[in-house]
Amino acid sequence: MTAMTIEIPNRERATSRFRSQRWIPFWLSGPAAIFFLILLGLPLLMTLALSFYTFDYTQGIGETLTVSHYAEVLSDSYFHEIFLRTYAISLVTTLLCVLLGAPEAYILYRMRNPWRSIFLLVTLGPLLISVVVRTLGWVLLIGGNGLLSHAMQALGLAGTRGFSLMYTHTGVVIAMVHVLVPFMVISVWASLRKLDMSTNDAALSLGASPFTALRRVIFPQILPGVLSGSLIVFALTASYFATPSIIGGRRLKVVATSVYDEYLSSMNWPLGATIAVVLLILNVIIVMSYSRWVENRFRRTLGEGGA
Amino acid sequence: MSFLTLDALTKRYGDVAAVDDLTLSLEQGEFVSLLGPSGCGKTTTLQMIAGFVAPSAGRIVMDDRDMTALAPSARGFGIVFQSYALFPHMSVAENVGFGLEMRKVPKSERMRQIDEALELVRLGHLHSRYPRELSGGQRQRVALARALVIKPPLLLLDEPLSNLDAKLREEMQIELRNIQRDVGTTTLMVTHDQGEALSMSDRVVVMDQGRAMQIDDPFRAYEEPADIFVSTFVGKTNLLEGRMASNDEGRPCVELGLQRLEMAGLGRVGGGSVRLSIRPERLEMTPCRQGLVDGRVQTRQFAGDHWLYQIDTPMGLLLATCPNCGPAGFEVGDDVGVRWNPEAVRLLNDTPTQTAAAGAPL
Repeated sequence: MTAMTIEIPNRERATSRFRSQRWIPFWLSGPAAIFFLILLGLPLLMTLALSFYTFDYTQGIGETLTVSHYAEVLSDSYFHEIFLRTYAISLVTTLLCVLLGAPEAYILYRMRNPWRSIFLLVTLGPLLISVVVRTLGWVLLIGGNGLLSHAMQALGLAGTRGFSLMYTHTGVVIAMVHVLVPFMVISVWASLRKLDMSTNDAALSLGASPFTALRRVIFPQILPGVLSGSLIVFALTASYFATPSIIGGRRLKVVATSVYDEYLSSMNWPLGATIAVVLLILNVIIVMSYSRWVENRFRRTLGEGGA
Repeated sequence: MSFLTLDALTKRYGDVAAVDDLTLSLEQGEFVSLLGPSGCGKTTTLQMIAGFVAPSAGRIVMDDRDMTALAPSARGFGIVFQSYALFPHMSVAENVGFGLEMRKVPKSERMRQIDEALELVRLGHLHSRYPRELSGGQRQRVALARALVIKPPLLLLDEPLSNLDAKLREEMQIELRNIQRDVGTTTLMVTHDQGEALSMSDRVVVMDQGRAMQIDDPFRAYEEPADIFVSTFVGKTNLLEGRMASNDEGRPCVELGLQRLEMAGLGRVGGGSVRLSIRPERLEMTPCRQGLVDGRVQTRQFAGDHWLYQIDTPMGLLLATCPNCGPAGFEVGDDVGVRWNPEAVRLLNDTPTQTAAAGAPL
């Protein structure tokens, strides 16, 4: 009898504990989820809503809903140019990051310690410095009164007016590549960590030259890292603000800087919101179709999810 | 003239000699194993032959051609790596065909040879699979097919079976050896597994600290170990101390328990004691006071096909194995006698010496 009276509450306590345990993951992730929803989801929804409101330069944001901003962004060649410029810069920046970052990661990987750690730190160290500071550093280098200009003048390659890469595509791309190449290195590095270097030896022993081994055996194995690194670099460039706004300025507008201008110069918030939403949708489409393609491409050879 | 000759091959890293003055000759078609504990220099030796590591001194000569300075790709040796090193982004057929492609073999001929090589390792049906879709044993076979399809003069195996589970390893030992016999490729295998080396090789090179301690056929390496290292590394053994004495006719002999042994080579030894070795399976257990030494059974282990006893005797702890013919004859704590045949006792060199390799002229 005593055994019964002890046993029943015990079991009840166990089941109630089990029930409360089911909620533990929700309690634990709840604060972060609420934080995320309020600080990211809500502004995003408000931006989306804002993009449908009318705007008048004399009366400000109206009360009625309209899709005219979307019509404007999608039909005006002014915006086409900005979007095309943004994606062109992104594409060129991504390509250059691949050309610089992939070999850089591979060379770092083949280095021995301590050089490997030292150079990895040199490569990734700039991530610790503010993008604005680094971009202003480029201004000092490539600006009209910058180091590059003085050097060119000294060599007689530039006239007395000096030489500037400010407000040019070249200047923006150089600075963007510098800012984003560490992301490519990290991504390729992750692929290299999974690489079995004896496959290189195997290729050599089968008669491949070092270059052929690199091209036919090593590169295909780090390709997933290159592709996912490209995705990161491309997506970041397409929505980057600080570097294009400092080096490109008003003369070389990209999507992010024109959103900023619509909000803070023209005060046309609905149009700014529309441009932001269009950029977001385009980026999501590009990123998702790209990563789906990458996944399908590598599912059989290098495991689920490619990189 | 032998087919492949390693002539005083040496590799130093700083002050440490990873491989120290290794001289070895392989005959055409021979299967030789480099056997030793990790860090003994066996893998470095293989890497030097393959061309991935440059020797500090010495030569690698094949068929009268000095290969020492040749690039790995110019040597044309087939190599099976410990990790198999299959190309994960290529199908089985592409992996096997890679070497042929590098040799610019026309496509139709290439296909024929790939099929042939895959048939040889019984994987003809897995042509278009990718390495990660294969089991460990299948990957091993693909690696072997890839190494053999280029018809290499020399096949190098770097711990080829160490990643397989025990049962598969035994099957592959037999199969690998059969394939090697069929194609007749001279083979050098690196392994730390003495059972593998003994069962597969024509000759075994037992290595320690960069030096070849003994180069012999498996039976002799086991039965007549050159020194203490070889006798303990190749198989289990009982190391015993014998006292030097002289018999009634005044000839030198060794006292071991109640036994006086006359052995070859005793003349070289001065007075004092000598090191002797007896294999556990050569010890016979008898009732108490009927053997050459008495002791007490300390532990008993059952290993399926045999029993393993540890017997505490005045000569030290002796290891004895008895084939499993019915239930065990002795219990832990039993007083027993131990007996052995005089021929089973081996005299060991106390100091490490390089036997067959030492100063052998080319």
